[in-house]
Amino acid sequence: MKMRETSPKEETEIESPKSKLQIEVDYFYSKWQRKETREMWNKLNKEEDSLYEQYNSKQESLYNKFPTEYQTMKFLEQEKDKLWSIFYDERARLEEKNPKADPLDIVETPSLDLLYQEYKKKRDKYDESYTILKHLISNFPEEIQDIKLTREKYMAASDSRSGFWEKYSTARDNFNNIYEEYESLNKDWFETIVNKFSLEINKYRRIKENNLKKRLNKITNLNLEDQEGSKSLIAKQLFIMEELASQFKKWTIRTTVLTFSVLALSWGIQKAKDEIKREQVKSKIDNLYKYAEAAPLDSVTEIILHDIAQDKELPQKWREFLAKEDSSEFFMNSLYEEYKNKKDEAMNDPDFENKLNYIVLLRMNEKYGKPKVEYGTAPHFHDRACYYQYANTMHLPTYTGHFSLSDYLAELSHAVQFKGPESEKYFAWNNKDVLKTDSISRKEKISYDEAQLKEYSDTSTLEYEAHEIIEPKLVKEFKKTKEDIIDELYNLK
Amino acid sequence: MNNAQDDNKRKFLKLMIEAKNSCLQEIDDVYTEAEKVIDTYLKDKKDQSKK
Repeated sequence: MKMRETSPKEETEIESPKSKLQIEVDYFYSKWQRKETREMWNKLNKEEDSLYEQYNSKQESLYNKFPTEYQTMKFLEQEKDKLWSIFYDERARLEEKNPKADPLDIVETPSLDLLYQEYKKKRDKYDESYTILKHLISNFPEEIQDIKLTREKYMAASDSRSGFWEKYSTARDNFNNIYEEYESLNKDWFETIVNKFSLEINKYRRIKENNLKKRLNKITNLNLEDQEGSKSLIAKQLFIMEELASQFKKWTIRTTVLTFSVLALSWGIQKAKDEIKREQVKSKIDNLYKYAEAAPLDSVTEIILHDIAQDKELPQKWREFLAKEDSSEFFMNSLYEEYKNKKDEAMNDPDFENKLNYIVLLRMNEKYGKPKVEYGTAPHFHDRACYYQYANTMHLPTYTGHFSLSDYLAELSHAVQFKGPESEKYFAWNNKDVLKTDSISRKEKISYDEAQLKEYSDTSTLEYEAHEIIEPKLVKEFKKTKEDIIDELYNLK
Repeated sequence: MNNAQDDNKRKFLKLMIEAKNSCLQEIDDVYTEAEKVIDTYLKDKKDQSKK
């Protein structure tokens, strides 16, 4: 056999793109994310706080020269604030009750007006007490001057702190914008690399596959020539192909051979000159052939493609790195960062629930052979979810507009079968089911899809095992894993 | 941050190259095996028909 011209080991590393954006990102970090910057920020905060305290305590000690009047003023201030908050809450309540009403009409509601009048009375009393106190302290002009100066200093410190904050936040916003662009640049880079490699791999696979197809074609044609017109022809072709397929351990070859077995069936039907049947089987074969083309090559490729497929569903901030070795753990860490010490808040947060479900899904997905998820139904199953074992891909319908957990778990049960330790058994089992269903559809003159529905109630089929035995266990496991994660998050164990 | 990102990229690239090499190797192995299986199958059939 002719070997490849270039060795796969000779691949050289590709440089990551260095961009202007990256330099700006560097600049932001060197200018703002330094120790000195943090120290400056802390210093400004401290200055402001200490001046505010000085101003406050100086004012307090002056007022305390007249304790009775000062206490009266403080008491009236509290009372006034209390009434204001009652008035405010009532107004909000009325506004909520009548969302279309004019706010001015609401203020004129008698009950609300009454509350406002009470508040106003208290406020006037407070103003009065404040005027008295002000009059009394006016006998201490030096202290008043000192307080005024301290206040000015405090205001200046506050201004310089907020000025610093403004500069920093502007720089940070610029940085965030730049960083977003930078991130999208990275994403493109990842995709370019993945596409480049996928193309190369597929091209090489196709050359090999075509050679094999030519050989299989030759074998089949020879047999067709020998036994043209014979009724046992189809059965014989299928027998040869199944016999061959059972000797292959790799999926790629199985896909090719099984596709061929269907093709043989198609040719046999063409010979029989049954136009309707021929068209039905032909469309089925076309679809199966498309799937066979999409079958991945090995587990490594599957993992990579899986990550790309998953990426569409990831929240923006989780898109950091496509090739995480343990993605559920990565998300688990971000969940932990976000919700640690916030158990009560987390329990009422629908976002938390979503993220939790997502982690459980990923964990189970990783556990059961990382099946890819594609949205949209497979061409020959118009409104049904399905799992295609040769590509380890499940197709989930999008008619509800949402990801359906029950559909996902139903199809995951097939991944459990085909990616489990007994996967060989299931491939053989599936072949038998396909043949059986095919013969039922022909015997009872119903479509293949209709005949396949019978599999769900037939205890001898793979579909029955998947949905009646494995699926309920997965549903239980999903709930249990979710509880376990909450326990793990809040150290209850 | 940038260094970390570059590291990630390098790791990713390394993983991709490894994956690609392993894929190409597997394709070779798989198709060589397939050819052998077909050879054996045809040889057996031929032997059977001779008998």
